[in-house]
Amino acid sequence: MTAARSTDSNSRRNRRRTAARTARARLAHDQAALIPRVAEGDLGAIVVVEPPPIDDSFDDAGREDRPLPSFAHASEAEMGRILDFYRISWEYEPHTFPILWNLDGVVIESFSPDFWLPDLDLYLEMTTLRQKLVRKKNRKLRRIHELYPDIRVKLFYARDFRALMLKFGRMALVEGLIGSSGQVIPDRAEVDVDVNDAGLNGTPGTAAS
Amino acid sequence: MTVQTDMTADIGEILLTEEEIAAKVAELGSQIGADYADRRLTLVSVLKGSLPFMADLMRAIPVPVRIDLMEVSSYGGTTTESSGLVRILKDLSATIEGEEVLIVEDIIDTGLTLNYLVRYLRGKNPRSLRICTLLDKPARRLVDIPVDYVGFTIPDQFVVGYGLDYGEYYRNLRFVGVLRPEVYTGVG
Repeated sequence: MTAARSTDSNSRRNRRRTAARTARARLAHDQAALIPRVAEGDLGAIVVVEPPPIDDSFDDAGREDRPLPSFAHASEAEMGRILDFYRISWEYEPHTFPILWNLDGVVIESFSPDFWLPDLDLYLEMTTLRQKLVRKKNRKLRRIHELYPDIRVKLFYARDFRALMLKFGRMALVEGLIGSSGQVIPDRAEVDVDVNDAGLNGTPGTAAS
Repeated sequence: MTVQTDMTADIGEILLTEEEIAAKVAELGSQIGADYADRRLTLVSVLKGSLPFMADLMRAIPVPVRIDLMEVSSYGGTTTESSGLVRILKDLSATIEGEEVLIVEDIIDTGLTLNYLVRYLRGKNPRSLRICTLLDKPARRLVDIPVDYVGFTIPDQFVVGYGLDYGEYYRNLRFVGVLRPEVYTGVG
């Protein structure tokens, strides 16, 4: 490298340094102008600006304090909690549909779906018990479709319930909530304790649909 | 849960390859671009699963887009929720009033979260509100919501990868795969 080229290079480097110093000084000046001056040691004067509150309570009214019905099965109680969480209105067994009559016209068999979701115009029937009962419910559901083609009933099998629990990270609870063991209904506090013990709830999930 | 260092060992089957996903994202981007020609669009993605899809889709859409992110609590996290109700954990950072809005989802199964989100966003008076999902699992649907753009309709299996997780892992897989049941049942 010649002496001339070395001098030229040093000069460029110095110009870049000067420009950088100027830019940093300008930035510091601009920031200082934006930040209210606080006397040294007077930290109480710093105002913490909170983000505006999120108003997502658009349909909270009347959801939280209503008494829960006496569920026949733990999986139904869990479904009720899930629907509540997602703010889906529901009623427990509000309607009964006759599906078989004797020759005198007396109803001898009827079907009461577990949940009625009025906003969705949908009935939910939980079928998490033994296979024999699943067959019986399938038969009833076929009759419902024949006799009442306009009503929508979704049958929720044990495998559907398992998938839901898996999605929500609650697989450890599944065996206690389906089948015959699910006929003893744990209360909400017990369920939450179990989830924590299972170590599945360490990171509250972000949503999937 | 135990995630193997080689995450692919936990995958029973690759459902969608990286190439298939890329081709579908390009196709969706073109379709959305045509539908929103001469308009501007706001993409709203729901953390965290939709991130890879959002990142790829926004670059495949040839009209001007702005993006926003939301985070919604899920039922699995109810023990930390005092109210036991779904909540917005992260709201939009800009107004969508009068805007053309497209919700970008990774997967729609029950539709419970999406149903809540749609009701919430409608309350903000966008000019239009549509939904795009990479994956649709209709067998799991509880709440029927019309979906405008669907990448793939998939069978009723638990899938991970390309943003989808189990226990917060597997999101960084480049493909969508079916998780081996042994991983979540602890059997085997």
